[in-house]
Amino acid sequence: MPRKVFTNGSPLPASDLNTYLMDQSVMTFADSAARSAAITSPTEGMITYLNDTNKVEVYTGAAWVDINDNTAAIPKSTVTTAGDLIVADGNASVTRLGIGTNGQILTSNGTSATWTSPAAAGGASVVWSLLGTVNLATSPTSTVTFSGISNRKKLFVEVNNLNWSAGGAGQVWDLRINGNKNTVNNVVGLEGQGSSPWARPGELSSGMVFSTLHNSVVNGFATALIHDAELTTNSQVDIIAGVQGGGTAPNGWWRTYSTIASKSAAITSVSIGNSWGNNFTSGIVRLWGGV
Amino acid sequence: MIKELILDVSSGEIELVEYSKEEAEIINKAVLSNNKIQEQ
Repeated sequence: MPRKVFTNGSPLPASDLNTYLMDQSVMTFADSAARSAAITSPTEGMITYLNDTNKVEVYTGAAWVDINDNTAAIPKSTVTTAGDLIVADGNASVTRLGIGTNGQILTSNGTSATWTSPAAAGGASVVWSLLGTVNLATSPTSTVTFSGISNRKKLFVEVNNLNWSAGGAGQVWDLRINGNKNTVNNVVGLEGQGSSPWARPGELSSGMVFSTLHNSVVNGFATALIHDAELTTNSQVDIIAGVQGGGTAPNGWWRTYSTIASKSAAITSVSIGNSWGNNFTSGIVRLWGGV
Repeated sequence: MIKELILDVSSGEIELVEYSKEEAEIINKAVLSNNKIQEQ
């Protein structure tokens, strides 16, 4: 409906009174029937109040609608708890998505949004956690075993500043994986002593060699990355290891190679040990698990 | 004396296993018999 501006002295015919004042005010009726009887040809924008329903309605040009019936708005009652999200569950349809638990991330399956733990989400490539640490200075042992491993896609073994006194010729310290079968010579890499690299990394049938030594280990170091630990098929193992000194000159040994842990069950334990049986006297051994 | 420290990463429990001299000799022989490094 148009709006007319009246000035001083302007005439006010009945038609102007009806059009510009009556029809543009909030008109009150007993009910919709009374309104229909009074307004046979409503104009878009007219507003009425119905006593029986206590509703203010506006004429859209096609129908009278409740002025408060705004179906396009999202009611606040959709959410109930701090952290709730409002998501669509269809065309012009919304629902509440409660907050996820601590550490969960919002993921999509292409259809809907879901709070999911990173371990199962696959959103991150690998999520590592420290499974255990052993300080050999306070717990001198010849073998450190991490047991109770489960559902780890990858395992990462760290050995730092390992020392071992009094060994014997041909001794090694090594990584032992439960269920591993004989994998001797199933290796690719390099090893060396001093400045002389050799072409054939050695391997025990009982374990994967970190380094060879003759009498003692001085500052042994090693990292071993074990892949597909949770599978019942073979696992690739990548090893970088060596000792800074000890034994017969030129003392230092190093070894870097990849090999296969031939297995038919998931890995549940890994050990770092030596073949002589003397205790490691110092060093830190850590096991990380990746999911 | 061979000692093995076993850390159960699921429970956090630590167990220390000790082997006798006789057991240690058996273990050493078993390991060394498989030690292909010595052949190099």
